Amino acid sequence: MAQYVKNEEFAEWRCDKCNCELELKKVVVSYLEGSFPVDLPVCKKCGQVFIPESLAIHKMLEIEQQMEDK
Amino acid sequence: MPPSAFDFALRDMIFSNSDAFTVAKSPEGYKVCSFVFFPGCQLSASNPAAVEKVYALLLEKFSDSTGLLLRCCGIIADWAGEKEKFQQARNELLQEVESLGNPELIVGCPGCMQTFRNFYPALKIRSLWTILDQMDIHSKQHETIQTFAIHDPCGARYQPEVQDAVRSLAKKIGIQLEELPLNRDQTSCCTYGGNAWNANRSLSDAAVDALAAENPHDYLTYCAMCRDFFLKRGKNAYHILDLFFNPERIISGKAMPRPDYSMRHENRSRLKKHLLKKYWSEEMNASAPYEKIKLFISEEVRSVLEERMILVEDLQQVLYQTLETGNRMVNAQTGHYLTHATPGHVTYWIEYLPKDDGYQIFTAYSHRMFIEEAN
Repeated sequence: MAQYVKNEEFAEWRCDKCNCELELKKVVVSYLEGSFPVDLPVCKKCGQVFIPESLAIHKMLEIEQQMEDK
Repeated sequence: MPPSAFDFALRDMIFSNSDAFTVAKSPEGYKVCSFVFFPGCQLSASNPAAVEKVYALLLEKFSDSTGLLLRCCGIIADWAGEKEKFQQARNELLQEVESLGNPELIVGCPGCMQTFRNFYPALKIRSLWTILDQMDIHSKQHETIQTFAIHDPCGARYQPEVQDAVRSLAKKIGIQLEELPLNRDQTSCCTYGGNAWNANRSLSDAAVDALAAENPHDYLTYCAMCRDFFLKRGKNAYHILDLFFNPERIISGKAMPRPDYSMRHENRSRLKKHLLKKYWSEEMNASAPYEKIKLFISEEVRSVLEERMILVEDLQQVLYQTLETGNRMVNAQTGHYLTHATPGHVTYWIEYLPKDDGYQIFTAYSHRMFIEEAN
């Protein structure tokens, strides 16, 4: 299973709604015809996901473009 | 093509054909009209003041039976291969023209002219430029005071009468023209055509840079997008209407600022609101509730949004949703909040703090991947 977010990238963030810390957990992401599991930081209580800026503008964009090119 | 290739351009077309911009009106006192001014969506987005001045001029000096038709011609959908969406836009436009008594369209965008010629054979159309040239507003020919290189928009390739009219107009306001290596029926596209800019941004930048380097003089064109693409890449460029109504710019060499993507929406809505009030004493319909959310965005952040093709209204929609759900993260060090939502096909993330009666935006980013969240 892929893990793209390092612990230090979400250590300072917490879920404001639940006042709860985040933990890495398997989350399914999908795009076009494909879907796959990824370890992402989520709220321990409500499951709200945290996507850091660096992940969105680099790796996720790269994967989106690769999937578009298939 | 994947959705990312044309999605942003298609959403812009949807905006132009929504209540935020569309107008189909005969002038006051007329049930139907003989002519209707169709400036095009991007001229209205780039230079709404010029659209207002042209409309006033047409009413005063051309025909007081000139109506106003604001919307997109639909070509964006055709370029994206979305035939059904194009047909829908085409049908809506034809219905509006019929409701105005099938007037002749006075078209202010070369791309729209080409679209009407190719796909709307029953429409009566005329170019704004030939009308302006015949009006002889600047009847006393100015002494030549500045040299520009003229760039013909790709939409005007097969309209020699339009190419000639613009050259004639330029001469009348004191501009000496140099021709680019490829002009008239062989002119190069600024990459707005075919939505190329949306599908391949690095290729678009390279193509515009190459075109901009063909002549050291400032460029003169008659397509709003050509002007804005040159300006975006640092080439001083003017739309002929920038100079026609403000000839002092010819001497100052100061181009008009290029509106960013968010401002292009705002300009269109403001134009509609202003003209409805000015000519028909009508108020525009109430805007969406999220549009009332006030944002504080620095120039630096605004340029990041522009690069990432994120609109102010995208941020407003996400924050509006956050106010309802309460879903957000908080950073223990900075106190900043981070929230996200997916109003359409794209998920937007915003780092922000409440400020006064609105929100200060620190950054925003997006992705198209769908995240399956538990909540």
